[in-house]
Amino acid sequence: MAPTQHGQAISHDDEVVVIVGSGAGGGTVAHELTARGIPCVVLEAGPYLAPADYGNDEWGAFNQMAWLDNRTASGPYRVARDFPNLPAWIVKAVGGTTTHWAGATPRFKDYEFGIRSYYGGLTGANLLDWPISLADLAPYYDQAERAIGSTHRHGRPGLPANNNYKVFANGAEKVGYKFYATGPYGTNAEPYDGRPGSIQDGFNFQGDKHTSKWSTAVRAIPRALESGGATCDRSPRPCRSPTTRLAG
Amino acid sequence: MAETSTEASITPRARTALVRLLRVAYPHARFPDGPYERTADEVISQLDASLWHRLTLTQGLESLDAAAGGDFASLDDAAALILLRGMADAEFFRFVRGVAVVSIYNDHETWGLLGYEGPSYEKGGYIDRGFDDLSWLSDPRIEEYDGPEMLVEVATDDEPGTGGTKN
Repeated sequence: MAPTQHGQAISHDDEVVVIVGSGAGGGTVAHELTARGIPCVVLEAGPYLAPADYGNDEWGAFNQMAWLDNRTASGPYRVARDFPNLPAWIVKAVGGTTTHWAGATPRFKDYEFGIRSYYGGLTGANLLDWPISLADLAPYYDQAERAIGSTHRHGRPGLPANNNYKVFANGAEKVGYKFYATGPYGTNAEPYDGRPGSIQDGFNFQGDKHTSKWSTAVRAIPRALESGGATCDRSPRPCRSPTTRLAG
Repeated sequence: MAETSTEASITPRARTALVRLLRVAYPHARFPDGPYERTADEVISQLDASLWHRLTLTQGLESLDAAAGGDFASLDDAAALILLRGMADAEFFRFVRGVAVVSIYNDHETWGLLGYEGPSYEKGGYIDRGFDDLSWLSDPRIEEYDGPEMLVEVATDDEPGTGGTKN
């Protein structure tokens, strides 16, 4: 199968940044670079699925966009016994697993940067603390939360309480928990950044047809392509020859 | 069942045993036979071309009859369940489960019986159709807590240098 190409053709003689994968990392990098006038070619192993292609069907979506290559599992855990060959639910399509991702956008806690300090002393483990702290990342969290449109952040409202939340929040309050809320989530409670508020259709993991949930497939990649600086390229083999080529 | 070249090794009797196995392994009294029969056919259709794979399922299903003393399909639910638990790790049964667990609940006839409403996007989602209609609890706060208590991220006992297994 010939790769499908999206975006402007780029001459073989032009210098470009080649990005492997169009998920959270690759898609974001393509957008940021093309916004600065740096042309990119994004190689993506899966197809370019648009929101109109997403379906309200759990198993159908799995077969549509999951990485279906045979998985092997071994060891004592139950998955190895029950489903040793079931592919993992990660996405092989433009947007990567941001399309399947639930949308939760919590920040790490400070202690999580000190893995050796907090969890060290485990025989046979070579843990290290990160050389950076939460404070070092704070400005980038701010940027990401604005790009994603995280609820409860930077003046944006929270998502409304659904029935599940009503039960859990009431239960949390009764056992003395205070730190609960309906977010932060990367799904619009009201229109933001050109995308509408959620209609609560209940199909977040299968790709949000309404585009209320952020993903690189609905934000970064289309913008990179529109900038005229990115190409997205697709081919039938994973990794070695991608199925989608995005240029911008 | 029509005998075809790809299904030649699955006899009607073996298929009957498979349908019965599925109902005992995934028991839902309200399900008619259709979902179990379609799931059995899905299991059979996913047999690959290797003779080994085919024999594994065929012999596994035949072993059910042997273990049941003649006719697995005639055992009552309790007896059939005991028999199946005894062969939970058999290769053929693992293959059947791997296909069945995702097929039987994707059979649309089961959705309504389980209270699952299916697609909603074309109906405008649930935002105006009951996603928050629970009324037997008070409406909880949705904003983050901003009271006087501070979040304790790490318990005092777990701070480094306080003993335990930490370095």
